[in-house]
Amino acid sequence: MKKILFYITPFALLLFACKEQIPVGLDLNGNTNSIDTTYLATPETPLLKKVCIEESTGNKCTNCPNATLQLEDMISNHPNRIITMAIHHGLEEDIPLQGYFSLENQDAIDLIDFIGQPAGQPAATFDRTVVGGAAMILRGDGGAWNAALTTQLAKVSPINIHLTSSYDAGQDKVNTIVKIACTDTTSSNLMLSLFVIENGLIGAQLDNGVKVPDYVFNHVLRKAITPVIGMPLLNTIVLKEKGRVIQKLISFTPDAIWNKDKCQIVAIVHRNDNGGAIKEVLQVEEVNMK
Amino acid sequence: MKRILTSIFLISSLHLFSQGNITGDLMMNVNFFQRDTNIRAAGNQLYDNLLSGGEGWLGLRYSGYGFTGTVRFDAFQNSNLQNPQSALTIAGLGMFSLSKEVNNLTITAGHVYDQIGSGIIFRAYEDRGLLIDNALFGLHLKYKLNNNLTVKAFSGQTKILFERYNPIIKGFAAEGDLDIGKNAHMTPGIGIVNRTMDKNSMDAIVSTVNSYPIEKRFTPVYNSFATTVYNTLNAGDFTWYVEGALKSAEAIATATEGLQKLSGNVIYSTLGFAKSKFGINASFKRTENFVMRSSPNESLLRGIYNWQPIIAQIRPQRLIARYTPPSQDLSEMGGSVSTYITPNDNLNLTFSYTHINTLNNDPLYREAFGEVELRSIKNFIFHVGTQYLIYNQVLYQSKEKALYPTIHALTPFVEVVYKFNEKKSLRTEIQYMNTKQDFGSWAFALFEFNVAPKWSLAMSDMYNITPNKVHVENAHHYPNLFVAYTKGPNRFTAQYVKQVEGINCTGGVCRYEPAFSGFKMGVTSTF
Repeated sequence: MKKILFYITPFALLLFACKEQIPVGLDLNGNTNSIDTTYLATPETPLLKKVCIEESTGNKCTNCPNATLQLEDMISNHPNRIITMAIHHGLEEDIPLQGYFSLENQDAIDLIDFIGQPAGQPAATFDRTVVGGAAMILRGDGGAWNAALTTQLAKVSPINIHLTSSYDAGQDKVNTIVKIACTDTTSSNLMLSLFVIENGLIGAQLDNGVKVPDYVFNHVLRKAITPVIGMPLLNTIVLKEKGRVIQKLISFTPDAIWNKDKCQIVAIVHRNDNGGAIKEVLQVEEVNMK
Repeated sequence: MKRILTSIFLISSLHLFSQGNITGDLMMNVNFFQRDTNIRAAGNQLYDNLLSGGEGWLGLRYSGYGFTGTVRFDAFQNSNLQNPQSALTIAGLGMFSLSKEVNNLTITAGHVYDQIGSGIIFRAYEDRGLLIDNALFGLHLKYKLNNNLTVKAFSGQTKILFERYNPIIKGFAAEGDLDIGKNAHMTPGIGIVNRTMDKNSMDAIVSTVNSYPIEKRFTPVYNSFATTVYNTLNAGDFTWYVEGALKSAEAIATATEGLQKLSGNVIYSTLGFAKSKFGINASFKRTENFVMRSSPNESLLRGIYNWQPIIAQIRPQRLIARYTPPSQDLSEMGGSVSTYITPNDNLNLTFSYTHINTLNNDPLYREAFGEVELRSIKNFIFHVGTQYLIYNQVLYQSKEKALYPTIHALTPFVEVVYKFNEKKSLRTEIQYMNTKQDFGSWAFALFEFNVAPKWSLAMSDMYNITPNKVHVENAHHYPNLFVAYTKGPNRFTAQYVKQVEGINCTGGVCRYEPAFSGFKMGVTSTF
């Protein structure tokens, strides 16, 4: 027995000796506000599923403008069915003297890590579904993107999202209300992610080998309001039954650098199943910030 | 040169395998889904579009020279096993492990199945009926210090299908094996397990905590620790097992209050006494906030890396099995006593009582059970018994209290086996469950004809004889026709099934399963 104690004691001391620091992002004093309610209501009629396209792009990615044009065509051809978010990273450089201003940020880097690094740029994920072993699909000639979009447009979502946002200039707070209604019973672990995107940013972009000095960047990911991986939705309820409504009021302070008139809030509800391996987006919605 | 190298490789491989031993096993299931809206076996893609699906496992094991290699192929094709209401299609290497014994040190890498004590602080195991396979993917070392003491240590991640949860599980255990005098023997042990969460899991917890009112917020931790002390003592006719476990405070998902930072503890003990004509077994368990998951973001059977012993006895009778109580990891205190008396070779009497409450004294489960086995009539074996149970459906099945009051059920049953000769026998079961709650009362009858060792044919029906109109509009039959053929190590089964929705429990772990309607086939083989 003495021998056992001899071996175990140092091991146990090692494990217990170190004190953990407070996790990053924890707000014990209530600086960010989130008020939740949940209830059962008459089930809503399922809304048409919207497809979430998260684009991996960069200002030094010479083929990316063509990819962006393809996405714009998709949006035109399927009105109110597609929401895109441009994640700037990778071939993204910050050379102010040449007019290149990086739109990369930590949330963009974390989101790409979460979705999965693309094999190259341009690439995009369609509802974060895995195609050919990866969620990020390289554009190539654009055929793979068209196929992925067709697949996702045909799906029916068990989730409706109702999203509103307003800006309180007095308190410099954006108040976002997300109402999530289950139109079918689901046993998936659901996560909600809120992002701020901005349109109309101008800077240099490499386009088919030519520098375009005043390129207009739209749908640019500026910040994740929730953790990039999302926040759990009622993970204590095993089955989110048909008719279940979850409402969240989330308030945050916008960054001063943003043009709030050109900012939008994107709300994504995605699955978190099989230990996080399945991240499929079930529904997505966007609204102007103010 | 290539030919020479290939020849050398083949010869050495043949030599290697000729010295070792290869074993394996196959298990395959195929389901054909037949829509039946009357019993709610419909309304999902399996019944509406896909119509068939199945799953299979092929395991191979090589052992020789102190080396053991195991590999298993798993395939799910439109399988309803993970979620009975949706199809799962995925295939690949389900597990592999490489193990080598060097003197007294056994080194294992890959997917490890093991447990500490009864499994309260750690158990990596597989249960195919519920698609539980929480093997630890990592490294495992076991060292036999001497004939009385073995220590082991491991580190890895908990498996889920072909993926792994990100948190890391580390553990250590020491187990003894000692004689005490001439008639007593004890196997004591201690263990410790540490789980370290990953950043993504912590971000989700932080996000949830931030959404709480300020007075309910707390500081979550990445690391949780659990430790256990256990011992089995065999002394004469007595066998006594006792285990006590503690767990450090961490965020756990509670039933009504969301995430809370709570520490936990368990005490579990069994005591048995057996003589030739009399035996008695008693067990006791108290559990408080002992949730062991890779993170509190997981629910149902996901992310669990321990196993809690079950106090209630799992009964084979079809109707009684509808209300088997799973172990509770948040709040449970229960005990059971079971005794058997065998006055002579032709008579065996069994009685047992089980009593389980929450720690707040809310009744969870009661069972009084009695059974008589009679062999005095030539070629006949009779089992006659009855069970009375009280089952808290609200707490066990998360049902709405107003609609699902606690179940009180009385279930008498009779089983008669008649042996025509050494090979042929007929087994008959008749059960009746009298209850006003849940779906109401049931009747069940089964006839099973066996021709040993090859054939088994059975037909049964479960009928909702007095339905509870609150939940069931009309009484329905749930028939089952079954045939099995066994030849050597191969067994082939086929059955037509209509199965009522309910809770499926295996080894004390339970999950809800919707109704099933259709045809099932299976093949198992060992070699």
